[in-house]
Amino acid sequence: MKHLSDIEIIDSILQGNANDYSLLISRYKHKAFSLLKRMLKNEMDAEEVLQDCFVKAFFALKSFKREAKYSTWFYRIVFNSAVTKLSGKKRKIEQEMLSIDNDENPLSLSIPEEEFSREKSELLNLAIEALPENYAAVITLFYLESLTCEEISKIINTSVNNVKVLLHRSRAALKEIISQKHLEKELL
Amino acid sequence: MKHLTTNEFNRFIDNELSLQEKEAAEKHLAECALCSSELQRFTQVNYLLKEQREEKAPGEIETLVMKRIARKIKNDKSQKTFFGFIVSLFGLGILSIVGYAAYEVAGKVFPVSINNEIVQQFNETSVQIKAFMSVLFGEKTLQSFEVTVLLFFILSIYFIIEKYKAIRH
Repeated sequence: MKHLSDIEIIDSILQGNANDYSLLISRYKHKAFSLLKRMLKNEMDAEEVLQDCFVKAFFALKSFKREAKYSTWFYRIVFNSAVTKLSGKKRKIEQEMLSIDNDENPLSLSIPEEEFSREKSELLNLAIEALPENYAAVITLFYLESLTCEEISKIINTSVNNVKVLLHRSRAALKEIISQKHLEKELL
Repeated sequence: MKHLTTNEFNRFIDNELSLQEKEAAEKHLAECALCSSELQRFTQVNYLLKEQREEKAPGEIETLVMKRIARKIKNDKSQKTFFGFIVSLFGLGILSIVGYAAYEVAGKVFPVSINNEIVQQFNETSVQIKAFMSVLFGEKTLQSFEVTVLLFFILSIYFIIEKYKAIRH
């Protein structure tokens, strides 16, 4: 079967083939879910917000300007929805994004001891989920979605330099978490 | 020489150091076991992150989302129909008021009636309809019906204002 590009699928949807939207859902569901789960740190919330994001994106497709990639546009919706959900829970992620100099200790979140026996990828996911939301978002977008710092800066609405700083800090924080939780053997 | 900073380790693995900075760092790394070991950890974390797997979203997500989309499209359509109905009623009400006002004004401006018979017949017919309705439903029901129509008219104005606000939002 021919592999359709995102733009071809969008064109088809806008021509009235709404069912083609399921192709876009299949393409982005796992990555968007990973981003949401790591930011929201709750599977139920991630599922709920993921559905909302896909519905929101469907009805906003007409307004999608093809200047940026669909993935960048969609991840922006996902990121903003996660931030809204978090701010609903009185979390101040936007403040963290703006004040990256804030020396918050990212290691205050702990991984339960009983989780240590899980397989490597799950352990890594747990370690990433232990990071603050903005760190987890940047790490996921950079490594899992393979986006550039410029694309990430558009998604999280900050400068490219801030993205780089966040990326460096996330890596250092993750290294510390792995070290503090004695996960070197399992992970490194 | 002082040890490498976290920023320098990060820039080293991202290949963002200038040639001069890189040479200095490599020289230091060759001499310092502590920094060399730290760099190895950073490289391992970087590799680990590159190798990470995505988390699996629930399998039925496509079905759930498509169902929600279909439901929303349906709701939007019925909302549009309802809104059209309210607007038509409101338009009809406005037309009646304007028509009645024009009739009254025309009666005063042009004292000579163009066709008194038609007016008389119209008045008689409306009295007859009212009498028939009051026999059919009772006087009180008819009064409450009039009040209901008036309330509905006021309500339709409220609906239109709310819808306008929603559209603007």
